[in-house]
Amino acid sequence: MSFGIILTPDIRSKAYIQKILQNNIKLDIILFMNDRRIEKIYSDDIVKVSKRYGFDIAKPVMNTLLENNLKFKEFSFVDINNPVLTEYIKSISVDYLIFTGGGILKHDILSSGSKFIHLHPGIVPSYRGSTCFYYSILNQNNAGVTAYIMDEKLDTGDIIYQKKFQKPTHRYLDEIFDPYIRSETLIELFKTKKLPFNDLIKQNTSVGETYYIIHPVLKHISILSCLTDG
Amino acid sequence: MKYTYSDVDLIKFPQRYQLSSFEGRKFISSYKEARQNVLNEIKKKIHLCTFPETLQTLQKSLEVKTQKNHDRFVTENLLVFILTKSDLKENEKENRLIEKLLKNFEITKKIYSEYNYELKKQSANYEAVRNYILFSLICSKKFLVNNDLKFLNSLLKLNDIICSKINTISDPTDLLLIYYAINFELEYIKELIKKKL
Repeated sequence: MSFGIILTPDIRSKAYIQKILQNNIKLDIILFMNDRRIEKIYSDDIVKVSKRYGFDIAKPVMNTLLENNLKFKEFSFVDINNPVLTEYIKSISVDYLIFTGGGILKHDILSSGSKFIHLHPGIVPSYRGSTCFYYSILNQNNAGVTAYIMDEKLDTGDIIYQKKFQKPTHRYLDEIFDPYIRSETLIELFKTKKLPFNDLIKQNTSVGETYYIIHPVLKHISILSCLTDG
Repeated sequence: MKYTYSDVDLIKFPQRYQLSSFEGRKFISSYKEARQNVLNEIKKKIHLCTFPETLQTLQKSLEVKTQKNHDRFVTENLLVFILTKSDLKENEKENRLIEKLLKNFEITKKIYSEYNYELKKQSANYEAVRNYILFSLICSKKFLVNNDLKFLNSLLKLNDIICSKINTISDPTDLLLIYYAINFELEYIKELIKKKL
């Protein structure tokens, strides 16, 4: 069984690759979709908080790869459905690929021979869709992550693993809490589940709730509720 | 600080709300102030009456049809029908339609004037503000019944659109409906803040 990851130049990928390295998890292949975008500059406070949560938000993915002498295949675009990427994946025959980005995978890449694992920041089927952790914090004072095998629909794939988290006590939910809960779930998945994943749970797609991008007023109440209790 | 999410015409220039920044408690105050300003403007323009009276006026002003035998419906007629019906029982078919309309709205930020029953648009017109007002009130009704934040979320976005168009609205019935749509929203937000903060 072979295992790889598709990285993108964003915070989530920073957290995933740094935690994979910290936990000595061996990857068979690393693909890096890198459009060479300009790195955002982060404040000292957010960098400090990110380190408390196990990753350095200011460290570019490329730096982590190079400093650790990791072999990787780089693509000059960030688009999971790009045919160049699909063709490459077909040629390498890897069993599982962790996809760090967002969006829906189209038929072509899903038929490439690999299975794609996504870490969605919501406990499905109750929390499908976008910005689910904000809604979950408002409804239940906690958040969760579902690792599942991606299919052509949104957050309906077979479940590999689910993990719940207490709400944070800081304000950086998009920048730190989201990548933190996803990367922690990924590490726990590696530690607790053996390949191949035989005990997948099929989702009942006719039940559950789909959420959409949270309005800034609800987002503020959700974040403030973390700070109030903290 | 100023609440900026209703500053431009949101029907022409939709707001996507992606990765909105956190501004602290003062953001909530500026939001409340912006909504209150709209309420004050409406109060200057019209004579207020109760919400049931407003709905009666709305019913009278329209020939409400369900158009069951047709393959398309006029959005306004259907929304008025759903909003004004006295039977409060949940209806499966109606719920599915509301869910589809909410999904369409969240993705496109538009409500078209006509749809078929699969909710494929049958008209190119999405500028009728009344449809956004009526759907806001339906989301409000749904949130009241099931407390599902999905409806409160859409309600906030719909009211942002309505507030962004407020200076162009003169129909007294529309203004009355907006008055209640905003008041319901403020009440729900107040309750949520009381519960969570």
